[in-house]
Formats: sequence, C-alpha cells, structure tokens
Amino acid sequence: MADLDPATEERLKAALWYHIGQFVDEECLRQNFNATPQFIGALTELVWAQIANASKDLETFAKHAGRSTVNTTDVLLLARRNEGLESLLHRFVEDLRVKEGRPGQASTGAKSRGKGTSGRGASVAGARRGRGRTKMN
Amino acid sequence: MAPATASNPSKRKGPAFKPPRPVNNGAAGPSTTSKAGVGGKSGAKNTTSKGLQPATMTISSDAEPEEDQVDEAEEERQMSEEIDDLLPEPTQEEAKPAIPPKLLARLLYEGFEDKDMRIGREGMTVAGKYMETFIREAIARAGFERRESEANGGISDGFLQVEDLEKLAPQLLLDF
Repeated sequence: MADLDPATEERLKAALWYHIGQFVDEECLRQNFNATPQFIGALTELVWAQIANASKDLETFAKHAGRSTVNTTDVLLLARRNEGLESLLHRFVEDLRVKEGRPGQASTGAKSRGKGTSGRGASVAGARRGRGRTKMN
Repeated sequence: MAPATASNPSKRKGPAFKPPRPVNNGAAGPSTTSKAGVGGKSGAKNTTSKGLQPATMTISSDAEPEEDQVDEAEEERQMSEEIDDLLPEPTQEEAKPAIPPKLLARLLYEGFEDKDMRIGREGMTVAGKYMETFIREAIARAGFERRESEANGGISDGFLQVEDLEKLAPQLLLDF
C-alpha cells in the first residue's frame, strides 16, 4: 500500500480505525475490559500492516497458481503455519458451503477446480489437533 | 432443519448489529421519531428493523411506556444484554464482521501490485474471518497480558494498554 496517496491512505486508515474501535468496544464489553484509545490506534496499525501483508501474499499465491483471481484456497494458505487457525478457517469454509447448499465440495477445501489442490485436502484434514489458541472466549 | 437454523441467526443478526449505533446519536434521531409515529411495535422502516422485530416485541413488554426518546437506547441496551445472555458466541461471530467486507476488499485491493487482480466472493468472506480472528486474538491476548501485569502490581484500571499490545505483537504476528 505504499503507492497510495496520503489523503486516501489516511481516510482508509480512519475507516479501519473506526470499525476496529467498534469491535474492540464490543469485545471489551463482553470481557469486562476497557481499552485506551491508544490501544485501538496501535491495534489499527497492526491490523493495517497485517492486511497489507496478507494482500501481498494472496496476490502471490494466486499468481503462482496462474490465476488472476484470489480464491478460497489462497486465503486458506494464509493460515498454513498455524494448525489451529487453519482448521478453524477450514471449518468456516465448510459451514459456509453447507449453508449455501454445496456440501459436496467442502471436504476438498477448494472450489473443486482440481487445479493444484489435490493432496492439500489430506494435509489439512490432519491438522485438526490444532493448538486451539485461536478459539477463545 | 437447515432453514430453521439459518433463519434464527438472521433474526438475531439485527439486534447484534444495533449496539454500536448509539454512538452516533445524530443518526438515531430520525429513526426515533419514526418509531414514535408508528408506535414502536410496527415501526419497520427498513429491512434491518424488520429483522429485529421479534426481539423488539419481547422486550417492549417491559420497556414500552411512552418514553420515545429514551426508548430506543434503552431497548438496544436491553437487547444487547439479552443477546449476550442467550447467545454468547456464535451470533456475535456471524452477525458482525470486525471489518466490513467492502472496506477489507478495498484494503486488500490497495495492496495488490497487479491492479487486475480480483478476489472471489467466498475467498473474501474467508479473508474477513481470518482478519476477524486476528483482531479477536489480539484483544484476547491483550486481556491476558493485562491480567498478568495487574497480578504483578501494575496499573489495574482494567484498561488495555499499548504496552500489552507491544508484548503480544511479536508472537501474534508469528502465529498469523
């Protein structure tokens, strides 16, 4: 996001700040905490950087697969180093697909394009015994 | 079975969306007046308020009396409390994404070097979940750090500090 002009960047960051603030307030309410505005600001920076990283990764993954569209498998790859997170996202995708009425494809972990996804399903299925730290409260 | 479970969360989706709204009181003004006009119960002026009608009705039994101004804020507070009691985890996750999909899509798009790159719809949803988990995790770990430093005799006002975030950031970034 380096090539973004400063005014736009500022507005986008402000939008992100606002929504993160809302979310933090909501979470804090439930957990009986409070957050300083500085905390929210710092968290915004962290999330901003994380999104920038993720977007670069996603682009790279998609290009590596010879696509010009980022799809679900690319996003799942983001979580490749964290078993707990990976299985969480995987379950999320499965639920999503069941809800949309395409349960048949869920187990492959991909939109059944058959492109570079074979063998991946198995490795993800083995990741069920995650660290569980991503699942909280 | 499936439609029933699907419709329940969507009903509750409305109320879960509401709690943050009292922040911009200016925007709450017009909807209060419209509610006063229709009488609270049948005040469905848009789709969201339609969605939360059932909840409104159960609550309005104790909060109905004609205090139109206070009514809405009061209702929302009660609603959110009730929702917290009834549905601790799943609704919260489903009902309110931490970052609105449109904003996240824009941010991701800004990060692409190749401006022809697109994101699939499902991929977008999953990316939203990923970022939400990231934020949730950050807050949860910050809460953990806070408790720890309070136990060690630090400031104990229950406010999450930047220092808490500083302590957890390296491991968090390694985990995501």
